Amino acid sequence: MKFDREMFSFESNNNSPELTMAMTMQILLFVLGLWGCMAIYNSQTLGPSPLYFVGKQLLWLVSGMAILFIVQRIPFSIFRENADLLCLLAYIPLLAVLVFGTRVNGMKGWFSLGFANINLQPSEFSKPFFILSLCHFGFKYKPGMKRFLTMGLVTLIWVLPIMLQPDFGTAMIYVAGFITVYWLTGGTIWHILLIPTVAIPGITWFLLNNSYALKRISGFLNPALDPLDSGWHIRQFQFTLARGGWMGTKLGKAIWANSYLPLAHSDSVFASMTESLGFIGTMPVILLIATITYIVYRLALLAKNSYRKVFIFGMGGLFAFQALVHISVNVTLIPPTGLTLPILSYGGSSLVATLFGFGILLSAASIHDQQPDNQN
Amino acid sequence: MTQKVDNFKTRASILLIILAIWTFVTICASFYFSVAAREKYLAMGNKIAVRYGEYYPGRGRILDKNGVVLAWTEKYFDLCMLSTPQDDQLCKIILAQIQKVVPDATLEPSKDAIVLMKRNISPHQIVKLEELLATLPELKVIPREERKIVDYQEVKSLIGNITIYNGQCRGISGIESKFNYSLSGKSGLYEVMLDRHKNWIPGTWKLKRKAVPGKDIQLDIALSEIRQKGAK
Repeated sequence: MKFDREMFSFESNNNSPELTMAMTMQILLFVLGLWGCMAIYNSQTLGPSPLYFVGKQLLWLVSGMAILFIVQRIPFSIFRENADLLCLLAYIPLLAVLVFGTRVNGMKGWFSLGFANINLQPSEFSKPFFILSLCHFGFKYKPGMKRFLTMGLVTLIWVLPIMLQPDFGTAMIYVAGFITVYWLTGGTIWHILLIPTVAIPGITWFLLNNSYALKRISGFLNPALDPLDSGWHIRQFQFTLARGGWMGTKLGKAIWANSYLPLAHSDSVFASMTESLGFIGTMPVILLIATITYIVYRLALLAKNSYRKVFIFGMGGLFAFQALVHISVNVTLIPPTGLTLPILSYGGSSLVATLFGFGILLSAASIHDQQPDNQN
Repeated sequence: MTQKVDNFKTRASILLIILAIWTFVTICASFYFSVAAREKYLAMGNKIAVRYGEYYPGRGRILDKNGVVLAWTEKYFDLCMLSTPQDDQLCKIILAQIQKVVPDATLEPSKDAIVLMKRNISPHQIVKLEELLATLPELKVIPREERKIVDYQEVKSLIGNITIYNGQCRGISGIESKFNYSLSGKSGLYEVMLDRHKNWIPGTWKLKRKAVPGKDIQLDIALSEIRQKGAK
């Protein structure tokens, strides 16, 4: 592997659209992170130590941005050429966490570092490597059933330990990543439609054998039936949004989010923000997420190499999909999944891992070490 | 070298459009709950959290004809535990936390609905207990009023007795009963939001109706005369 300054590409061509977009994205990610800090503070103002979570999140944001700047300067060819090793290194912690992990909120998906109350969630850090592995197999085989089955098997291998934690929300994101990458690499809609035909009987069997999951679904479908138990979370989302109105109750005055809404600083941060900032106040957040997703789309189109195009859009797609699932849960369009709002919700693993993923994305979008596609 | 993907732009654009439609749907749902159906959900939420309560003004004093105070009210605060844990070890852990603020508080496993841990805690201790009260919903500071009368038997007989009914002092005999209406004043009304542990949420207390304090009653007899009459 030859390293030269040209590889660290964004610095060398100041007028390239990639550079402008990459810089815009870095600024938007940082702004989104700061907005998240504000939202976290807002959801904790009535707690015993309102600055505890926001202080930690601010430290994670600065560290995450530093990691993003470092990773984006690593030539993408290093990630691609060493994909096997990197994927293995990312996969081992997913298995290890099932044995040595710490249980948080009923999920055994965290490594406790044993100091400063820091927990690491390997399923967050493995996302870019999962997309990398899908790209690897997506380009290894010609379009067809063999490619679909291979990529499906790869997804199953990644998703299985996550489901055993059990973290179905994150598993769903991985499956969405598979569909995105498969579709972008030339997959057919008929193959993709096979996924629900396999998944629906599996989900039905799971629901019938796990009463708590079935209760959660019934609570979502009819919260009025059991408002104090299975419908509680859904109802609290609705009441929190209602308190927000057009303009919100002002920052630091999110009384409902502080008192009733479960996990107002992480899984319910969008609803918590709506209470303080109102319907109007949350629009900039949606706009920022949409702008970042559009920049990802533009960067993918500008890439000269299909492998990179797919990786860039696959990574950005994961971000957008997770954000939309979180918002959909918070506006009660879908049942609670336990997913955070990327960059904004409290959680060092989620924040740093997302920025790490964006670092690799920007590395893939750099123009100088790209080889054009084989036209044959 | 990588194989070229056909129609990447079209395929990525389709995904982008799906994401855009999804975003639009979430915005609509957010608008529905925040704006369109706001009043309905606000009312439902308020049913859970908003409570109205009466507060009683201080009971008026009873004075003799020279203005000497014969009967007055003092307010105290007791530290209590609702539904005490049955586990001795857990009781000890909770008590250790409380004793950091109220050193002589006690707590034993009990099946009683309410257990008195310490009578007459100071305002300073109440402020210090605020954090524990928020985290331990069973722990309560309960206000209590005590009617005091000067320590002469003759005066006590004349003034009479009171009872506490729904948190309010009510005269049941003697002057306390005769002038109960004037001494009691009129209760006020407040609105407050409770959290899920039924604790008051700071900053949500609103006065809906002002209380009218109880009037002082001045007797047309002096303390010395009451004592003389009693002696005869």
